[in-house]
Amino acid sequence: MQTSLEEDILEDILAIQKDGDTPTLEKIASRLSLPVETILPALERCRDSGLISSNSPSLWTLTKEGRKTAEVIARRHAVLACFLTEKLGLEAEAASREACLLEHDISEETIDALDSFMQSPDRQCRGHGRRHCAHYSESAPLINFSEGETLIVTFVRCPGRHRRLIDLGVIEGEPIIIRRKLHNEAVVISVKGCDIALSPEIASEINARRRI
Amino acid sequence: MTGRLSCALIGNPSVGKSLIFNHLTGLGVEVSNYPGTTVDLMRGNVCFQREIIELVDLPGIYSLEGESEEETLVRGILNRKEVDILIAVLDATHLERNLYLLLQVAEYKIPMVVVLNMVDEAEKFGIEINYDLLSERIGSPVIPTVASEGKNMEAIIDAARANPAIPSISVPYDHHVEAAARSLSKIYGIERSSSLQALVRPEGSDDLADSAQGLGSEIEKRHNMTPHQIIATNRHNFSRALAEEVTELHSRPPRFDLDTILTRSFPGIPILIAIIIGILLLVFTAGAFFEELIVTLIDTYAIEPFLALDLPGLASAVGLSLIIAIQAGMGIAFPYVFIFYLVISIIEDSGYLTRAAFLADRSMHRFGMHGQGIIPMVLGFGCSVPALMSVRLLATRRERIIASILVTMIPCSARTVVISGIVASFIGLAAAFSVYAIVFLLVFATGIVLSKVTPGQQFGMILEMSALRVPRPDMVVKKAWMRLSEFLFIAMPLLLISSVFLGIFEYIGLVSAFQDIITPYSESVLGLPGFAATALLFGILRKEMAFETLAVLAGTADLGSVLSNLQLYIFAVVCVLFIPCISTIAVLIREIGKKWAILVSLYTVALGIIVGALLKIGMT
Repeated sequence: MQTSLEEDILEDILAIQKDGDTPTLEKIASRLSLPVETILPALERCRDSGLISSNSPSLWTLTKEGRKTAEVIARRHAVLACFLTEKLGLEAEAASREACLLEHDISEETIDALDSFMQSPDRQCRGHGRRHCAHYSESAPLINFSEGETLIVTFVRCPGRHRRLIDLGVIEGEPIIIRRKLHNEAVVISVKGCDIALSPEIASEINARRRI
Repeated sequence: MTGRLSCALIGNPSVGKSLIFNHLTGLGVEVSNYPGTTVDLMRGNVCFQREIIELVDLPGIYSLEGESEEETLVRGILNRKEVDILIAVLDATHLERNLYLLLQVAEYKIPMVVVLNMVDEAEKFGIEINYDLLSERIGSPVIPTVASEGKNMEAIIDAARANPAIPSISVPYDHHVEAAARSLSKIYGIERSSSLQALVRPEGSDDLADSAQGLGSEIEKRHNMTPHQIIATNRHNFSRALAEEVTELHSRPPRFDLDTILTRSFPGIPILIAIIIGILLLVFTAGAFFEELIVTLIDTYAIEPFLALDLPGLASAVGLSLIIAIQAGMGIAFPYVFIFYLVISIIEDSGYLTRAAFLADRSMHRFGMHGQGIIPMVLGFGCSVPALMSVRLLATRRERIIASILVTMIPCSARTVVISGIVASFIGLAAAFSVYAIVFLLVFATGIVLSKVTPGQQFGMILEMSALRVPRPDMVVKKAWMRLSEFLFIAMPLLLISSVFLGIFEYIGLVSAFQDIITPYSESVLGLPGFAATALLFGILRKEMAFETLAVLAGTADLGSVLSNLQLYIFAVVCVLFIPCISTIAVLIREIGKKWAILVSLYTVALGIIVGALLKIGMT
């Protein structure tokens, strides 16, 4: 079990690596707005528990294990930040700060429940899902993906109006392939081996994520 | 009903139901309109060892739970157990998707024969299906067929006559759904299928709907999914598991996918435009040729001999009107309607139509329609009648109304004859094109306004791309022939009646009286002599007749000598916009109802007169 600081460090190294940068001691410290000497002991503890490897005194990278842990925390952060902005209406920055505090103690069960709560279709057909949640890029409207990608459907908005979609197999968890995408955002998707053409307004009501 | 065995073909769209139907039934196929709907049902008889079996081809559907007319119709037939045996047709290349409907159908507990069609194509794709295992799982006989080659067709009838079992397959639903269905069944003493239906669509105001609604929202709260979503997901997952269990996939050689060129903006859209222009040119040239032929044939072999008979006045007038009506009907039916339907059947059967609809979706949106709307619009250039009949393909009433109005306004080939015969030959090509420009502008403006004011909701397009395949000539001809006879059935009576009336009016002098009354108005508003107005009136029978009558009434084919260029131009514009022909009105009434047909007719009349009057004011 890591301390909050250790978790924050892992999360930040992951973020730096995702940006394509090399995580140096200074960069990690500046992201956390903490002095180098404060974080060094925590970094060393992480190295000792095999989450971080350090080839030189200034370069700290995540191990496979460390990456896994960091991703779990990053997901908690994303889900919480999204919940706070989308459902509770907090400002994005404030939500992110709050999320940083909450993410360390929250259980996976609660996170999962929150996640599925937000993924569940909006019955009143309003709003546009996660448009404010920049850091939660996993699930997005179908039209945000490009031709040839294999995706998993995460949800269909207003299921009552789109019975036909459900009958054709466009349901949560179903793998689909974007076969064609025109510049007007009309798409052809392949579901269960059948090609189905969708006009833009329908395509924008389907959310999906990349298949991992 | 009759004591004979009745079977119904049921399945997804384009799985080969109609092909099987055609193979099994002989002559005497009857297309009937199911009461209260616009859905066509095909009924036919199968004679087998002196026993007659009635066979119905139900419309292709994806599910039994949708709101569409087809789904409601099929659901009703199954609920009332109107058929003894169901023949469920599955596409072997898309087994999983097809099983979804089969699982729903199985819940109705009607004896069933499963036909696994297109096994040859499945084989080509490397799909190997264990028929015995599938049959065991479903609990009904499974018959592999290749309908396109007529393979194994008799086995279907053998299986149907052998008292097939009620399918035993049943989807284990989520336990909350099962519990809700059980309690509904218990309380109201209904079957499981009815309970599930009530949960999926709690309709009506009876106790059952109320309880189902209550149970449904309870489930919805717990799962964050509607009962329909849960049930659909269970069925999909069950179909997947079943399909995986009975199929074995072998690697297959990659095949060239035509869709890489057909559905891309480039070269897809140029191809689409080329095909549309190709169809128009073909129908213009071939249609005009055959129309000419038919009109001349009737002229020489019917009208001239009839006139030579020199019958007494009234008989002559009525007889002549009848022949003219037949001439008008045949002149449209065979050259234009039939050729169009041939071409459209080819495009439909080849699977290209769905690609065209996909590509055209964007431009059709401006008019409040979806991609499918391109079909009637294109057809409209040839003849409004088949174009209006194809309006049925559109999903919502709103789209059907918009499309019908625009189609009525699009210059059909008959109106092109007027434009070319009057404007192009007496005034010039540029003027002829300007007539088109005026009409297109009005069509465009009307479309934009209609998309704003027409009542009804706009739904998006969800369209399955049917597989590309080479159409079968006999099926194409058969389809075209059936649609042609439908046209004759609708339009001929009206044509005959109106023509006879016009003939009698002319005989007793009403037409000249009309001309006397209309002349001052026609001269002051449109600047046209009275006889031109009478010619317009005859255009209602067949648009080219306006042109022909004008020449007859003017007493010369050289119209330029009796009318000024402006008068000719106004006449052509008014004639093109003015009231649709009788055949068109007949189809309008059938497709969108009397009220809208009258509104459309009045609108076009008003439009014609207003534009004509504006032209007169503007040009003088």
